[in-house]
Amino acid sequence: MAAWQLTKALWKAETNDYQRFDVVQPLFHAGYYKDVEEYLSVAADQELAVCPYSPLAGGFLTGKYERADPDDPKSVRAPDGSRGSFDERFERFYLSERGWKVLDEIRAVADEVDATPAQVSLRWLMDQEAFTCVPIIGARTVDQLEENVAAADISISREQHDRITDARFDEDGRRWGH
Amino acid sequence: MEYRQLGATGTRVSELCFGTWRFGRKTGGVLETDEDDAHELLDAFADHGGNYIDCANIYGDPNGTSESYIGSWLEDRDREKYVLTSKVYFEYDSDNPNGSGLSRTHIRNRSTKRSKISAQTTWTSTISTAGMKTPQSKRRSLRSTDSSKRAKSTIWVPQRWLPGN
Repeated sequence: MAAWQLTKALWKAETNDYQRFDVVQPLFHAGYYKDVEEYLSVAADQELAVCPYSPLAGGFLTGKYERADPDDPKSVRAPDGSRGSFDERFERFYLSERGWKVLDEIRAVADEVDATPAQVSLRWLMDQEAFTCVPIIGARTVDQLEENVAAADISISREQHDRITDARFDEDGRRWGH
Repeated sequence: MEYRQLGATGTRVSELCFGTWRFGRKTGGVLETDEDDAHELLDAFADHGGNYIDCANIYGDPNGTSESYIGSWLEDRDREKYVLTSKVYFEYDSDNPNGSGLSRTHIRNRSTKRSKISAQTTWTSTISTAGMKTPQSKRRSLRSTDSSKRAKSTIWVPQRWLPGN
């Protein structure tokens, strides 16, 4: 659903006295922010809560994948048993130059606050200022769940938050290729 | 965990939501999360104060398995303490021409009356309409979600699927 469609649905609901949407559930994480910016601005303006799915980008933002080739963002070294480059959606949406740049910054912040990349990635979402943002975590094991939930106990500064947001852009302010 | 207002609804949810798409899901014939593991995960989430659980009627194999795992977990719990989300739209019953989509018939059948989770737990808190595409379907769907929402106190959630959808 595009931003204009969401706006229209809210308008139709108000005009006809239907119950309105109160929550939206977009794909949204630090490596996939500007793409949904217009949609999120509707949520902010209309006081809709945002509950992003795939907040860890299919595991990419946990840092368990390593870049295998500096010239090819789609070349990835995956730990055994993980999805690696086999998942078409994973490759198409997350394995990009900007994905790695964002992950690098998330890793740097994680070191600074003594947390894991997954926790920082979740915290970055939870700390959105324009709207209430409640990430949907899809832990497979209790250990993963405990690690994810501990994102509630860490804090990152506004400066660290902005660095992760800005990692999507090169020095000239252009967005890294996808 | 702390609690946050869910938009303008006044409902308070934990600052993380637990997604249950792996519950009862089979990958290459192998079950990812069985019922016992699902209950263990939900126990751990609830122990940390989690009260917000996301599901869909097509999660699990066969469809509805994930909802039923949550339903069986809630049998020993106070239903009022949890905010549950499910979704309607995707094909739930391929043998039924009304087994998918956002018609009033399908929404009513799936989300409020015969959803496995609803049968076990009385109501779902939020229903996501995963794929509204055309103005026509939107108008009809808004009308039917409206009647359902008024009747069951549900909160409606449009889902922005991947680009191209």
